[in-house]
Amino acid sequence: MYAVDLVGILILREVGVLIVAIMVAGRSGSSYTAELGSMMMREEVDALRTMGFDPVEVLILPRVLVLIIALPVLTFLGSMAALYGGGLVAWLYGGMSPEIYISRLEEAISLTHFKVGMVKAPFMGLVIGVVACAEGLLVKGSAESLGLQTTASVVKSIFLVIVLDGLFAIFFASIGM
Amino acid sequence: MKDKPVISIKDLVVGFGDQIVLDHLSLDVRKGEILGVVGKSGGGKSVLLRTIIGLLPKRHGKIEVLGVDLDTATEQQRRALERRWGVLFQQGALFSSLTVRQNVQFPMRENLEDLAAA
Repeated sequence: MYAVDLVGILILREVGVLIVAIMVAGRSGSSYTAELGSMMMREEVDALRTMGFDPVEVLILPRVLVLIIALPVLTFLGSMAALYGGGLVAWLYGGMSPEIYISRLEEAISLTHFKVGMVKAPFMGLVIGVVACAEGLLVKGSAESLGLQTTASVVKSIFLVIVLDGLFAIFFASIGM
Repeated sequence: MKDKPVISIKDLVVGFGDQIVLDHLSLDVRKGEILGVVGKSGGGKSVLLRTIIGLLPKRHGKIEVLGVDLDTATEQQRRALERRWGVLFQQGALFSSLTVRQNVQFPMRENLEDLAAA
């Protein structure tokens, strides 16, 4: 019975952070792009520049920082929820009592797996934030352009998140974590 | 010094790619003068105004606003100028995510440190 090992290790190392990152890219990334894009359309970004503010400093930096902070928190919540769900399914469908699930989980997972997942989270936030804001600032005057950039933002950030996860896998494999 | 123009543009060339939008344009606006720019759609009216406030790059020429040349101005001079001029954009350009009160407060709030230092 390696089901519990699979659930624990997979969730903590990969699936938890990856699903959270994809959800955040779809939810917050798209809203960042749409928000900044509509500010571009209404010339609000130009107005900021004219008043002597750097749009990167007042619009992009706070958004990216918030994602870098939020992603690890959400990853933790997501992983815990996933482990709970795994236990529920093991109990209801597999007939494994919660006590056995927890004790097997304790044997299967270690702090290392948890760290591997959490270390990736802020970088995912950085990638999503930078892509979403950059796409937002590329919006031209029309509503059509806003739609195109929002689509591009979500597609690119989900793609990059998965690529980044792969690069992290290579990195962690090479340092033996 | 009374007659020194508030906005002074000499030999301005602005273009995108192969297209030249403003070809060697010179213009002076004196103090108290109200200037309207009239022309057909796509004729370069907005391009001229956006170039003056530094939102579009120019290929050639010299722009002086309130005696400050935007190319040679120091960061500090530029910031002082940017706080002084006012621009009303075509779309209104209130910050749509802020309330009216926050819109009014915004420049005061953001420039508080500079004002205190001055």
